[in-house]
Amino acid sequence: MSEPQFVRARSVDHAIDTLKAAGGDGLIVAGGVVVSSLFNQRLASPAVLVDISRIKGLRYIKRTPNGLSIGALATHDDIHRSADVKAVAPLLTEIAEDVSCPRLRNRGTLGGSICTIGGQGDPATGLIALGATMQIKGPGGERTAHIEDFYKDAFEVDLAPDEIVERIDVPAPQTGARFAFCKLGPRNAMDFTQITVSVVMAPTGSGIRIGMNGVANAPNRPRATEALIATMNAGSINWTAVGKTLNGEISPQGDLVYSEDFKRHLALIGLRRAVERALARSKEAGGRA
Amino acid sequence: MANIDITLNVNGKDHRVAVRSTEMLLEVLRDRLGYVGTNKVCAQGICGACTVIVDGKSTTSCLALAAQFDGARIITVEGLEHDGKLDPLQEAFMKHGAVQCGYCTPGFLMSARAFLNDNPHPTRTEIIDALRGNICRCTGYKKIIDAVEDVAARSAR
Repeated sequence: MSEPQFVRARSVDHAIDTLKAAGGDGLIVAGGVVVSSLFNQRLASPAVLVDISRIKGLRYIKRTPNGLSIGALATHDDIHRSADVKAVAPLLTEIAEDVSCPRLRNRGTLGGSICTIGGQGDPATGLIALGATMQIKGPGGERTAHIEDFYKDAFEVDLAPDEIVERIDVPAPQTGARFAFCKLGPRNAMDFTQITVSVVMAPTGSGIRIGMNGVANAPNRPRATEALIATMNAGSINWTAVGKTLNGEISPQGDLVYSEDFKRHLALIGLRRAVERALARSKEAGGRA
Repeated sequence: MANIDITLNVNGKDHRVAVRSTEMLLEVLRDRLGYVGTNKVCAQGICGACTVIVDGKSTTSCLALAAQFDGARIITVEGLEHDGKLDPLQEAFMKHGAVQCGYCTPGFLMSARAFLNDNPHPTRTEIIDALRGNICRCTGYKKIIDAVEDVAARSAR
């Protein structure tokens, strides 16, 4: 196997030009966690490796009039420590706290997580529940994509070979919105979780946005389930009915350890726990959370 | 072809080295520069045996492309000792018997050192969470956590 050419991108435009010149055989590396793993397993052999980690102005977290703007190179550790994230979208703080472990959170970036391990990553669920959008730049200019539309299939995202995710914009939830994150798996540290659920609920009632992972080939927003829960009284949700609708919206694949049926079972448990935690949280905070 | 020139500062000493684009920091540290205290186990980022401190942060050297680390300041387990004096963590690991086969030990020491530098007075729960990315297959976790807790308790407030 010949070694890829290593290009240290000086700017987003330099990276895009390099990717374009590579004619589809370029690979972006940011924090390097996933790309290194691919190399160690001999699963990638691009002609050109484009290192974007030193591009100035891609690693930031800032408050905007609408919420938060997170640069693609912000690490999970940056997000975990950010007072702005905690103030505007504490759901993302909670998720970051439980991503993998400190030594990987120090290198792994939000942009990298979304683009490479979307189908197994935790942050994508929170971003879906919060209604985040991504700012993407390519040779033809910039475009905006809703994160739930970004995922096409396993390891397949709506990103051309010469496009780069520049930032993720997170709208601030309504004042008093309730939220929770639930992951189910062998252990919290390190293992890719089986089922991950994030929910953001309206300040009162049962209006809800749900982001799930592990229930299909790619992160999932079960809209019919959201619509059904919204018709119910938050205090007396009919989980049997919710489970039926949810089952129609997910397509988990059984593996050596967990059967498809078991994952369907877990998906409902994860959703129920997340919703119950979100509702309990509003009580804890006297409804002011 | 090893044609990417980088400079790594390892334990205070500068090394110029030409690396391949897919070469891991771990391989450069061990095989090129002789810092063999950093261990390789899983090459998947799961076990933490290869943990080193890069620019103050614990880093998984088996999942780190060396070419990305030009100019980095790296501390390996060999760099914990100063003037022949072991780091308090190393002393505590010996005192508490926090070493069985010893293969995971450098990774635990580096994760714990980075953590204590950031948070010198943690709770036991915080210590356990900080070490969640390091695996000891001898399962000697209790003594490892005791050792880190001991160092934290003895450091000046």
